[in-house]
Order: sequence, then structure tokens, then C-alpha cells
Amino acid sequence: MAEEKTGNPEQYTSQGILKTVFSRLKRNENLYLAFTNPKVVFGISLFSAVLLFALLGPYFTEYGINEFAGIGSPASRAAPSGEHPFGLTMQGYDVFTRTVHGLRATILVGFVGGLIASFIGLIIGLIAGYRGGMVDEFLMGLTNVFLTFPQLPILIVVAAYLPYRGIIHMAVLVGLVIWPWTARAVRSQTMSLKNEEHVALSRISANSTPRILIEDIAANMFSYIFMVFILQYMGTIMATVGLEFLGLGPTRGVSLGLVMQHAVQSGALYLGYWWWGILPGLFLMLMIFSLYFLNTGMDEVFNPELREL
Amino acid sequence: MMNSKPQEGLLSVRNLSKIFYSGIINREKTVGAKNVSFDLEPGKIISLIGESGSGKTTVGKLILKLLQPTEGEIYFRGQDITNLTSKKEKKRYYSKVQGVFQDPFSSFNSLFRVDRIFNMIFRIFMPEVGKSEQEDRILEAIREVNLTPDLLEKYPHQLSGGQLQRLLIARALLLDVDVLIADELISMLDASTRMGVLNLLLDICQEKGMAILFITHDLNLGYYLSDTTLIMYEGRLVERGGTRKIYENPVHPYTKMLFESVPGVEERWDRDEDFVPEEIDKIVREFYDNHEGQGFSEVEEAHHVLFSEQKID
Amino acid sequence: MGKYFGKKLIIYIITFFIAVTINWLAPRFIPGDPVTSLLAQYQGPAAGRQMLETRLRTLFGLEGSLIQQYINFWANLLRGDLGRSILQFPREVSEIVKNNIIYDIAVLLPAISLSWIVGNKIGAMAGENEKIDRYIMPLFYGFVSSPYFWFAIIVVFVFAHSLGWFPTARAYGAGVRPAFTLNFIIVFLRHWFLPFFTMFLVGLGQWSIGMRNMVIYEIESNYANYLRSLGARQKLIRNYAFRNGVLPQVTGLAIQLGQIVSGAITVQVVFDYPGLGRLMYQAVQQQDFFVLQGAFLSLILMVLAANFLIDIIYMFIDPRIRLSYSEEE
Repeated sequence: MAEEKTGNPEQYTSQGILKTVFSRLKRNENLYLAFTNPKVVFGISLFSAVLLFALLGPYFTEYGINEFAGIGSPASRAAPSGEHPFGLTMQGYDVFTRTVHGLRATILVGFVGGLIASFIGLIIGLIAGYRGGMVDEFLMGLTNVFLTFPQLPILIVVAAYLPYRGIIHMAVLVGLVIWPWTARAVRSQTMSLKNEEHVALSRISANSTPRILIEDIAANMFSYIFMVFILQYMGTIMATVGLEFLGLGPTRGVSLGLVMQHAVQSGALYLGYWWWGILPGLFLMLMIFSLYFLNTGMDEVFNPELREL
Repeated sequence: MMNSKPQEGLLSVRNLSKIFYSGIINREKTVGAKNVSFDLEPGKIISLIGESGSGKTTVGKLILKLLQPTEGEIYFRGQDITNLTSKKEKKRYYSKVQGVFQDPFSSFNSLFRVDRIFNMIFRIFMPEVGKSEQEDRILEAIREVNLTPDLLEKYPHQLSGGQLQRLLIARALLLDVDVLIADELISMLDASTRMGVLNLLLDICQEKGMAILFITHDLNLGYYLSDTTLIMYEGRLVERGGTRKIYENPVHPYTKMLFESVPGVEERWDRDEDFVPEEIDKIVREFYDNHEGQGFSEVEEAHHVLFSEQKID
Repeated sequence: MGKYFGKKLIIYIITFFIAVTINWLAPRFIPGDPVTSLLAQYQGPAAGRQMLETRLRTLFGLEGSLIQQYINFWANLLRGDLGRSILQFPREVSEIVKNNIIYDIAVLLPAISLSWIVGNKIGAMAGENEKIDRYIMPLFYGFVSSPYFWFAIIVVFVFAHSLGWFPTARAYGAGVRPAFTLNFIIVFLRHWFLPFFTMFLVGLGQWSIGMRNMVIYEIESNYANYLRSLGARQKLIRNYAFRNGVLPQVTGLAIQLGQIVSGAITVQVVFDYPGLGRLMYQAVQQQDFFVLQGAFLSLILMVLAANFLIDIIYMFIDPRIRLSYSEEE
């Protein structure tokens, strides 16, 4: 009982803070609103469906990604059938298998890349927003420069020279290019939060700046950071798929963009192999679609003005 | 009231100025505070009175080192603390000088329980103090502000503004500070709670011998609380002196206007034809022009007025 | 006002500088250098190899110290010399780029402008009209969630393959030579349409969504409520809401240019349609490094120029910029 009165120091470790934020969220009415918002529900459901598809898909097929599964031409023979729900490629590979495995690779790159981008953007945004002055000007200048770059061309130019492109390489590369958006968003939030009096109180308590940034500022924009991460993830995936489509994806294995590149290269478009070109991309589209809804829904929850009455 | 030697006082402010610049290429200047000087003494409450934009909050922030002055010095116990760099020095300063702000709800990080502010104090300033000793001290501080220990487990949104402000005062007591900067401490509290908190301030000022800078826009409060009054207008200190003296004999036109514009509770609406608040700026300029060269000078003992602007720019 | 442009120009110059540097730096990242990897394919006598190596080193600018190479690179760039294509040696890269950039502009300029204008209109309508919002917005969300090239693939299948209305690829048929004849123009337009249509639709979705959100936000704002309480007609309020909502859309356009151009690259590959995008793609496939460099730099220049253009336009429509420039970001 005596413990309770003064709180426990563990509360202020990083796990402690995370625990506090989550327990606070549990009691939070916003969370309730979030889970009853139709957009959020729809978004989460669809996203989970795609995710499940990617995770479990490989168990539903007996073919390898580069394994000959049947004769792939003419198109009528390669069309989707009971045995090959997504049809065959011209070379005779099973499209379902390749889609499912490719989706995994793409999701992985997107996720890691998104984390990297969010992390970089978060740190830069926090520092720029909190410090202000020359530091802010410099960091924002840097951010603006990166923002002006068209992403794919830069990625192409660097990726073209990499001798080996592993999944992690890709993730890091993409993450390093698309962080600016996060930095900007985090910075503006930081700038409004830093004027709150609890930040001043922390300062006159001689609290260390990293702790202030984490406890007083970042922790108070948790929902915002989450939404930002989702958007970054979407951006990373789009960029990754683009690279893959141009033949600059992971060197080994199969990826979603690569499957579609093969389709286009093989002239699938002329010959009518629509399942080969369209189906793999469909899942990507669905995933991003779901995330848009999730994000819009969450935006409505946290910014009541946008709610439809 | 003013020591000629700032080294002898508790906390002294000399020629303190803060200019805000906006933008990097086209630097626009805003004067936050200009040439402000006064002393804080133990056991005395000083009111800093002004409207929004007068610079009173800026002065508070400068003393609390939330802002860095562009000119001037701040002395604490004889030491010039205007430019503190090391963490240790800052900690030492904050262990003796603290503040309480206007918005009680904004002063607490809503994600944490209210006792976080106390734990922060121990963690940073007194890490050597043992757990049970910490509890005792916190309970003691709570008692002194007339609160009960069960509040400690609550979250900020579960408490009232008055309770939160008391907790913030308790925090300062925990540190046993010598100087407390109270910035619009009660403006966001209901009328009924205000007196409680104000009286608390008076009590601790007397009992602990704390120096309190009470920043407010409310003249009545200033009169109720303080021995010395400072009046600020447009970043400048325009009148300074014993509270009684100023209230009975305001000299600066802005001070006069302040007194004119306070509706008394007993009075009814009564238009004073001579008095037009919108023209105060013009009136002040005229006043300065008429008294050119007199600067900040004595009107009577312990009563100074700004008669003209010194040409510093 | 001058400061507004000054600041933007500095950013653009720095951006270009960094882009050029990355461009220059990238080939030097590969272990070994591009010359060695090219030489690995050489099958002839040793003496010839020596000559080739020297020649290649000169061509690549790989002689002299690193600083020297860098300066040379810039010197050439400022002269407009983007090097020569390795594959189509000795054809100049700048010439190849010039031929391609026309197609980029032909597709992108109308696609971007039209989709922005029409998209804003539709978005504004959706902001007010529940029905439009409910039925059209999800469709547009679908558009926006699609990778550009995937969308292009669908467009090809539907309009070119199934319906046969348009050809599937290239800028003009195999046996046709470009000329200002009516015949050619028709052929050109037939081939041009689908790439244009793809870029148009995705952009349409994007701007509609953006504008819709803006309009909703504006309609609920204080000034709108105030006007309403004064008895202003909905049309007037809509007007104000629209004009205020357009501003961030213009900035949004500048920000999105990079994305759009990136998307255009992949679309060009799908349609095998000429342009800097397809050029870069082929250059990567064929390891024609100079073409890659040249195309990349031209692309960056194009984007920066477009950005600058938008900044100028923005200055005219946002009175705040004209009256007082203050960095509020």
C-alpha cells in the first residue's frame, strides 16, 4: 500500500513508459471510438486478411517459386483453374506460389524500411522541433532537399550500382530516402507540444533533454506517430514495388514487382495473360487500400472535425 | 528595496532584456522585455503586474532560465547565473528557484500519475534519499498544502485545477526552494478555490521565508498579496515601489489607467469621459516626450517611475 | 517576395548539387569500378584491352584524383555534355535525352494539369455531396492505392487488349516515321492516350481525395460558420472553402511531383513508351551508365523546374506570401 502512494521508479524506465501509455490507452475513450469506427474496422480487417494470405499462402501450394508447374502457353491453358487458382506464367510457373512468396518479401522490406524511415524521421523531427533556431533551419533545409527529390529515380540510381541487393539492403536504402515526410510531420507536432507547460516543468526540473523528448513530447503524440508509421509503410512498399518492377528488387528470391515485371517483359499484355499481370498487384493494392482506410478512420477518431456526423 | 549591490540580495535582476527575432532572412524584432531591474527578498511577495504582452511572463521565464536574456544579468545569492552552462550548476539553481505556471492541467503530463512530479524531483535532485524517506517527505509536503495522500495515485484529469496547483506548490516545498515564480497561478481557477491557494502562498511565504514573484494581470490580487509592486507595459518596467505607495499615488500614465479600468465590485457602470483606454499608447508617448531624459527615477522613497525611454536600440 | 524565391532557389540549387553528387558518387560504390566490369566482357587481344581501358577511363572520367574527377564532371555538365552512350557509341547522351524528354512532357503536362483541375472540382463536390462522397471516393481510394504500373497493366488489358480501342505499346507503330502529317498525329494520339489516361486517373483520385478533405475542413471552420450565421448563401461559402482549400493542393502538387514522376517511369515501362523513365530503365538493363546518369539529371532538372514554376504560381494565389514573407513552418 505504501508503494502505491509514491509510485515506483520502474514507471520511468522505457518499458514502464510503454506500459503506462498502453494502460492509459486502454482506459482511453478514443480507443473505444477507434474500434467502432467503420473505417478503422474495415481497414484492419482487410489488412489482416492480406497479411494472413501472405503468411499462410505458401502452405496451400505444393509448387516452388521457380518450379515448373505446367505448360504455360497458349494463354488459354495457363488461365486460372482449380489446380492453379492464379493461373500459370508463360514459362510455366505457378502464379499463386510466386504471388504469395513475393508478397512476403515485399511486406518485409516495406515493414523494415518503414521502421527505419519512421525512426530517422522521428529523431530528426523531434530535434528540429524542440531545439529550433539554426539546428531547425539546417535540419529542415536538409529535409526539404530530400523531399524535392523524386524518390524512385534516386533509388534507381543507387540501386543500379549495388552488386547485391538483399532484403535488408533494400529496406535500408528505401528507408533512407523516404523519411523526410515523417520528419516534417513530427517536427510540427513537436513545436506545438513543446510549448505545453509540462515541458517547461520538466525543464526547470533539470530533466535531461532525451527524457523530455521521449516522455513529454513523443509519448504525447503516440497516436500520431502510429499513423505516421502506417503512411511511411505505405510509401516504402510503393517505392519497393516500383524498384522491383524495374528489375532492381532483391537479387534473390521472388518479389511482387518482379513477377509483374516478368509478365510485362514476356509480352503478357499482348497475349492476354491478365491473371499474371493483375492478380499479384491486386494484393498490394488491397493492402494499401486497407491502410488508407485505417488511417483515415484513425484521423477521424483523433481529429473530431473530420468525423462524418 | 533595491540593493545597489546585487551581490547582496537573494535574487536580483539587472537591466534584463529579451528581444525575440523571427525568421532568418528578414529578422523581425519583438521586444519581450527591456531593461528590467528589481530584487527579490526572502519572506516577501512581489507582484509583477501587466496585461498580456507586457512582458511579465517573459521576465518569469528569464528568471527560470527557460529563456536566455539578450542583455542584462541575473544574480542569485551574489552569483551571476545569467549564463549557466553546466548541468550541475543548473541543477543547483533549480533546487533553490522554482516556478508554478498558469494552466494546472497543462503542467502535468497527462499520461502519468500526478506523483511523477515528485519522483522526478528525487530522481534528479536527491537520488541518495531512500524510498521510505522519500515517501515521508512527499507526505509532509502534501500535508502542508492541505491535500490528502490518496490524491497521489490519481491522474491529472481526475483532479481539480486547485488541487493540481497545490500539488505543484508542494513540489516546490519538497525542494525547499528560496524563490518561487508564480506565473498567473490562479487565473485558471474558479473564484472559490482562488483564495485557498492564495492564502497558502502567503502562509508558506511567511513560514518558510520564501521569496515569491507573483505575476498577474489582476490589480486586486497584487494589493492583497504583496509588499512591493512592479508594473510592466510593453516590455518595460514603468513603475516600481511599495504596494501602498503605488496604489495611493500612481505616477506613470499606464499605472493610472490600470487603476481606472478596474471595476470595483460595489461600483456600477460609470463612464469616465476623460479616460479612453485605446489611446493609452499615445498618452504614454506624450508622457515620455514631456519628461525626456529623466529615465527611471525616484518619485519618493521606494517608489520609482519610468519617465522616458533611454535611447538604446 | 525576393526572400521567398531566394530561399526556394537555394533549396533547389542544393538539391541539384546533391543529386549530381550522388549521381557521380554512385558508380564509385561498386567494388571494382564500372570499367573493370565492362572490361570483363572484352574478349579481344591484350593490347586492345589496354587501349580500351584507357579510353574507357577517360570516357568515364575515372582518371586523375577523385577531386579532379568531380570537378571535371561539373565542368562537362555545365557545358551540357552528358557524355556518350556506351551502347550507341558515339551518340551523345544529351541528344538521346532531348529526344525522349518530349514524350515525357507530352504525357505528363496534360495528365498532371487536367487531373489536378478536374480532381479538385470533384473533390470539392464530394466534400459537400454525400452521395458522391460515398460512391466515388472509395473508387478513388482504390486508384490511389494502386501502384502506377499495376494500374497501367489493368488499363492495357481493358482498353487495349480486350476492347481493342487503343494499341498496347510504344509511341507509334513500327513502320511509321514521325512527321507533322495528320496521319502521324492520329497515330501518335492513339498511342499517347493510354499512358496519359493512366497518369490522369491515378492523379484524379489523388487530388479528389485531397480536396475533399480540405473542403470538409474548411466548411466546418470558424469563418464558414460565421458567414453562415450571417445568412450567406451556401454557394458563397463553397467558393471561399474552395479557394482556401486550393492552396494546400498547390503545395501538395509540388510535393507530389516526385511521386508522379516516379510513377511515370514505371508506366512508361509498361507501355514501352519513350521518355526519361523508360530510358533509365533500359540504361539499367544495358548497363549504359552515362545514359542513366544523363537521364537522371535531366529528370531532376525537370522536377526542380516544375517545382519552381509551382512556387511562382503559388505566390500569386496566396496573398500572405505577397504581403509579408514569414517562415511559419
